[in-house]
Amino acid sequence: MSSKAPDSDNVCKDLESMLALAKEKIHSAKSSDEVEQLRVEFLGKKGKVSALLSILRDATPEDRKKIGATGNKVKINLETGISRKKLELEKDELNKKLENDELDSSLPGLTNAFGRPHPVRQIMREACQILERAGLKSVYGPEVEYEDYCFDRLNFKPGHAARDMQATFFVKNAQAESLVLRTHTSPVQVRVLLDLAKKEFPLPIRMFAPGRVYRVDDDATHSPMFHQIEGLVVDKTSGMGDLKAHLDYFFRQFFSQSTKVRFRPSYFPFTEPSAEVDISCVFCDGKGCRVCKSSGWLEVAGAGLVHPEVFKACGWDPEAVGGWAFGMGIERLAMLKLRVPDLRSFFENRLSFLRATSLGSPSR
Amino acid sequence: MKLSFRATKRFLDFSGTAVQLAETLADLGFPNDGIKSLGADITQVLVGKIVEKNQHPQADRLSLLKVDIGRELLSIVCGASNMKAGDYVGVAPVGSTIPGVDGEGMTLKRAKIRGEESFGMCCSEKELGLSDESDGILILPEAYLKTIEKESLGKPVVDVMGWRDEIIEVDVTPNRGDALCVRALAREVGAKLGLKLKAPFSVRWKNPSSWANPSIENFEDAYGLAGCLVKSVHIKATPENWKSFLQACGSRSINNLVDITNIVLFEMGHPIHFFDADKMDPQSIYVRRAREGETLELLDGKSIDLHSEDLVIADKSGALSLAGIMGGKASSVTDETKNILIEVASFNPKLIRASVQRHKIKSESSLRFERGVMPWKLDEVIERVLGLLQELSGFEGAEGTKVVSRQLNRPHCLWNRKRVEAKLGKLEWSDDEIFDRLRMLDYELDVRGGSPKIVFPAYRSDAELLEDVMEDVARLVGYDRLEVKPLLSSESVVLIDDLQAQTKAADLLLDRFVSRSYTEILNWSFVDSKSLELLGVDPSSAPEIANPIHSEKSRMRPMLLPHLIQSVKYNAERWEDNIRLVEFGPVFSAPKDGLSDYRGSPLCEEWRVACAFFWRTSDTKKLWHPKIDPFFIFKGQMADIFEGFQLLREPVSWIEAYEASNIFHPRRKVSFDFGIAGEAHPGVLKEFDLNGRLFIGEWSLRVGLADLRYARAEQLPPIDLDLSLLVDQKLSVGRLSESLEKCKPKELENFRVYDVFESEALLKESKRAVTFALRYRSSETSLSMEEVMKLQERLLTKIQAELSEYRIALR
Ligand SMILES: [Zn+2]
Repeated sequence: MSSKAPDSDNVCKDLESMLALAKEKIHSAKSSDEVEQLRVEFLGKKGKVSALLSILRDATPEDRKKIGATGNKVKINLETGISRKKLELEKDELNKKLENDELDSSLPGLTNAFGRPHPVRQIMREACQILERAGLKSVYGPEVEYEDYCFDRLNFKPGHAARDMQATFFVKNAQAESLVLRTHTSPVQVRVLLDLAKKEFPLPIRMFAPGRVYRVDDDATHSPMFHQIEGLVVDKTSGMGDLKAHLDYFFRQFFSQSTKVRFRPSYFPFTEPSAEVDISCVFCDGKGCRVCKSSGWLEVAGAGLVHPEVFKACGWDPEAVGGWAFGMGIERLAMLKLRVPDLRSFFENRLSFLRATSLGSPSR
Repeated sequence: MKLSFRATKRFLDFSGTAVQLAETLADLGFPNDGIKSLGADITQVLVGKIVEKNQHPQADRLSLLKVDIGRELLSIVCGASNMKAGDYVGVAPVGSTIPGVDGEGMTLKRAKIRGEESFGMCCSEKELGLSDESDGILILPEAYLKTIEKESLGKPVVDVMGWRDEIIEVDVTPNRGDALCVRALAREVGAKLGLKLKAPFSVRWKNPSSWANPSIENFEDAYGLAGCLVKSVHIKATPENWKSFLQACGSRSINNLVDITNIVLFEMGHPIHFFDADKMDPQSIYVRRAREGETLELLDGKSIDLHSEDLVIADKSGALSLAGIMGGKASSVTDETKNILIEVASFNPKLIRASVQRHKIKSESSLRFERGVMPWKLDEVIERVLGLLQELSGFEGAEGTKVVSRQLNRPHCLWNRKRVEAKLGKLEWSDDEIFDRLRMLDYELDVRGGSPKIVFPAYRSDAELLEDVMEDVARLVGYDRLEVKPLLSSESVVLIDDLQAQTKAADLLLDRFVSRSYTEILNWSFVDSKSLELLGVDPSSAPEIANPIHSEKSRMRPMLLPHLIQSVKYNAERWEDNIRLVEFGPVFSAPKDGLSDYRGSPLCEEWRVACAFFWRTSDTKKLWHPKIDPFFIFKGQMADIFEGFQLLREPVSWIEAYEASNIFHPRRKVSFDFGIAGEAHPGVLKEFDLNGRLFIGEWSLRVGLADLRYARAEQLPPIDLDLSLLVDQKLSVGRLSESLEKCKPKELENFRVYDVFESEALLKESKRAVTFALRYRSSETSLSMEEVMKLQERLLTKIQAELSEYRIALR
């Protein structure tokens, strides 16, 4: 204990010089631990600041005030400096620690790879969406079908050579009527027309029928089961001009805006006039290549105006309405769009093919 | 049909190229499978004359030839035996390229054959790609070449013989049997381009008064028959110009008589037949149905038993030929034939088609008769035959033609431009322009009076409506020139859509399966009985196909899983990784077996989804948590995928078929009320030679997600508490969970199994520890821990009471 009253000016001077010393020490500290030691050394209960301030007890009120003020300033100053330095060093230390991370982030992540919808499904979905945008509604029908619906009512006359165009599977059954596996999706037209013939306001009909069809054919370019999508529009007046407009729209949406569509005369029993529909070759942009046999065109669909006999067979007056229809093979579209060279790969169900063949897939 | 470009130009002043002709035909509805240049690949084959023929000293079968090709004398070693000195042959000298026997092209090299040098080759027709079969080398006609020997030796054979042509392989649709000839296609092109059809031949024989007496038993069976007796014909070779025409049409020259029938067939599209008039009675020929038990030996030597629905040409002593398909052997023309009867006819196409299918015999004639050959201008056909006989054979006299034919009602319709334009759009041509073009297609028009009357061409068997005229107008104008209307849409009337719900469910489920690594596959709908039986499934309910493509694909599948298991095997054998498959598709059964997804469908068709997940034995090593059994991976996936789905329509009954089969492991199943899933029976894996574990499932698609309504998010905090129980080992966690579900207070929001603990010590007492994590919450008040503890105590008491046969204690 000092017997002499402190000299406030001296004490203040000591404080200031201690502050300067501390600042220097803080500045040159190398680790947060070192900073912590400095905090204890200067600001701790037994620290240097406390030691210097201990004389306050004996100081005059005036001196006490003076020294107190300086002491506070020094304390705050030190505290800020220390904590700032500490934060700074801690940050550096953390960064240094992160740099030496033991997790090898280059190892692959744990994934649950997506599967894929079947390419036929992808193409079918896209075709359906385009037709829906054009205002057509989907209708489905059975695959085991009455021969009557599949042929007779579609103006395939019994004993006519046209039936040979579609080699047909017959299904054994105990019923009186002959059953077939439908060779095309057109019997859905018959079902819709028959259903609506009795209605009071049956027009307009704007529909499409997607589905599986079957033909007795099994070689490199034919599968006994494949898929079609078929469209039918019936209204008071509806003709070739509307048909052409719809198919133009469909193929431009499906392939690209620059796709050209061409109609050629052809023959189907259920349409008259009938047309074969070509698009400009998607492989060579119509310049001619191996796939299009240098013609620049690819055959993709059949179409035509609904034959009056079909209207009659389904209970409609062919004089009072007009209608048109078209049909196309989904596998054919899939082969063109996904560049699949072999029809049979669609039905082999090999995973590596199915995973690699996808709309918008990066592997393409 | 093979259309010769050269022959077409005989009928039409067509100034373009073969490619342009083919394009015009395509625009008319006759596309093609390509154009072949005849002779273009053998231009390096030269005319040579064998001046010397000697035996090869080392080989009996080989000859040494000296062949004069004008500029030089070539030594050639030849293996054929059909040539002699003085013959003209086709020579491929060293360095030239010919198609070769395989058609892939071969280039001749200098060769030494058993010691003798050969500087070229005398070619066979097969080596030149001229025919599929050939006997010896090609010998060129001596009579013809002798006269022009000086100019021809060393010149390309194709040029000397006039073989160059372009052959368009035209596709003719089955409604246009009439168009299977040069004249008809030329007429179509002419009408489109406005070119008049030329008469390519003048009829050189006007036939005298009628003499023969052909008749028809039933005019429903045959529409027309004409006969003409020709005396003292001479059978000989056909001149080169006609030979090359036949070759262009894909036929081979036999002799002048056979060739004439083919020439008329390819030119005019009308099949004709020659009888040896001395081997039958030419005066009594008629068309009738075959008699029961009648037999006939055909030209090709085959004997057939005739059916009462076959048509025959007969004389009074019996059947002579199978009408429209093939002649009989007994009355056929031979080298000794002197007098012939020309027969031209028209038959009901349905009967011909049925006979072709019955006897499995096809010919160029039947191809046309099946599609319909109309009794049109039969006399003109006979006149053409007589003209050709005069040119190619010579004869002493024709004893007359008689034609009988049914009075054909040629269909007609009235022109209605408004209706035509409603369907085709506005037309560029005036009525008169249209009518002129139609006349060029042999339409007849009567424009007197009001609406012009349009009579269809007699050769068309398929046309009768204004729509048919429309099509011809559209073809002549060009489909591409028809107006395109703006794309307008109006709302469709309501349509039946039986599959709407199923399609929606399939779309949702597919996306969920795909997100769980399943890839969609697509199998044919056919299945074989054996593979069903193998899995313990009775195949008799699966509908049977009468004419399956392979005998083992004779039924429509009654369930999806057998195919999926096969697809797993297929992929496993091909080292595919991560085999997870899903398939959507209909299954088939007799109508009584279930309710069809389609109204008014003849059989029961139901849409289903099935999946398979194959866990190879080696996959276990790849698990980061090897303690979990893959069964639970599968079970968890299925729980995720079907979360929220519920049966929308009538309950499903087909699950019993699976229960009765050997497909599933009896104890490892996951229950659904609209399907079945679980682990495959080890027997299935053994049967399919699969090494690992297989998890499979099949579900009805009569399911959907309920609409979710607004639900307020809970505001108060929950209290989570574990419930750890010591229970009998034989008490399944499922049973315990059921009980928990049944007894839970309303404050128990949810619970889940958290841990199952088994130890040796516990097992000794046949016990195990099961821990649940429970979450309590009240939507009204904040629960206190004391309240929750009390709820849990009461819950335990209830469970113990409910499952009193088991030991259950707090752990
Ligand atoms: Zn191309």
